[in-house]
Amino acid sequence: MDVIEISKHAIPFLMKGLYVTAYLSFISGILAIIIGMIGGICGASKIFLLRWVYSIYVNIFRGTPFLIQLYIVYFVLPSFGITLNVYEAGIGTLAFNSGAYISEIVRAGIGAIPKEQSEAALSLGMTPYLEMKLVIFPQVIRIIIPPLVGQLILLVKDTSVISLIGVFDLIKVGRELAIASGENPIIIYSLVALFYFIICYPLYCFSIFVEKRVRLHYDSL
Amino acid sequence: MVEIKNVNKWFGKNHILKNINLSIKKGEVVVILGPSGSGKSTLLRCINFLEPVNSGEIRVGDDIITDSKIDIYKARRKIGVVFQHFNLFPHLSVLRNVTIGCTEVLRINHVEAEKIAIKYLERVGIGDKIGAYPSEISGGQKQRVAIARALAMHPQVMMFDEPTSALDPEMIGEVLNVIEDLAKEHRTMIVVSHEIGFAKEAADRVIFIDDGEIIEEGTPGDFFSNPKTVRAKSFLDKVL
Repeated sequence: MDVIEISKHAIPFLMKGLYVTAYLSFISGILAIIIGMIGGICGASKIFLLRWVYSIYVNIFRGTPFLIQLYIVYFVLPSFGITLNVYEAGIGTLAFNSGAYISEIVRAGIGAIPKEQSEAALSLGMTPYLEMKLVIFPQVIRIIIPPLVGQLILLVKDTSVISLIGVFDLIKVGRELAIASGENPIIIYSLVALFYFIICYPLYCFSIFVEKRVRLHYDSL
Repeated sequence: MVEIKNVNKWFGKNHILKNINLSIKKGEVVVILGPSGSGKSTLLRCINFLEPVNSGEIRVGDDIITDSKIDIYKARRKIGVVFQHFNLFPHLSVLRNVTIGCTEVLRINHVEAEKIAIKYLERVGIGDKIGAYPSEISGGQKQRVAIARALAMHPQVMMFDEPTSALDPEMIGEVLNVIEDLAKEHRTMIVVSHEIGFAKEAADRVIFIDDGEIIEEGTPGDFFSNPKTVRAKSFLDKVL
């Protein structure tokens, strides 16, 4: 069998899967970042109740496998009257799952900003909102980009789990080609791996680029 | 301009400020001296409410800082603070460090705020560094930017918390010169410092604090040549 022939035949199908994987990654990634930012601020808050809710959320989502969370959302929630389609269930669960990890990254990032920065901001008459918006968060973003991108790379790969509730993403298309259509699995799965890599590698490059560009210096450390 | 009445401050069981009474007139330059851990910096932090006091009253201008009903964020605009470790915002350029208070807190437009910032940056001798980032300039330059940042808010009172302690020796002079120039303009200033030469030169009054209490105060001439208390004498013996 000719590698090029098989590839030519498989790539149009895999492109459709790639599109689904990219779509799942993009939407759940954006949502996870939003959830993570809100979560991280709650986790770093002085308000006990917020920290308490935050810790329950983070521990539930980090302490159980993503696949179980997905099964519960897709198969169990309907018996409580909440029926989601595969996309809603997959994107929602992944967003909350990754959001928990990103929350921890954001919380740690906020904790890494020296308290002198906050004092300087307050001394200029800034309210806590302005302090967060102008002084703390812009610095947090710079610090957390490498771990945040790392988490997003994991998220891209975790979308493959969503195929188990029936989404035709990259890995599901690959499996159909290899098993149902009987294409050479070595070539097909290699192509699938390559396609994931094509999404993840630019993310990694972006992270390295940013890390080199934005390094913050503190005099009090 | 600044009235401190019967102020007490505890950290847990440590009595940091013991019944402090201090009145600073408009245009007066007060230098606070004292051993480390004596409560000097805590006193400054109480004046702009970075630390709440446990009892007593602090008034700055017309604002009673210790009143729970006061808008403390608004009151702090009138108090400029220069910190030991400069505390510039590392993600912002020198110019933006100075304009950010004007544009975001005082809501002055950017063009006007940049004029104000450049005026003060030139004043402290860093007009040529406005595009630089804090990591690209020296400690002395950073501290001068921090002074410009505080001045740009047009505060009624300027507070300096050991402004030269974190500097390399060769940079202390450039910062002290700027602060001395400000003192000559009869701004209301409170300076915590170990620089005796500076205190002699610039202070209208010297306050000596030890163990959370004001032990002695007087003109620099009197205090340095003729300290009345044993504690002040032994402190001066160590630092002179």
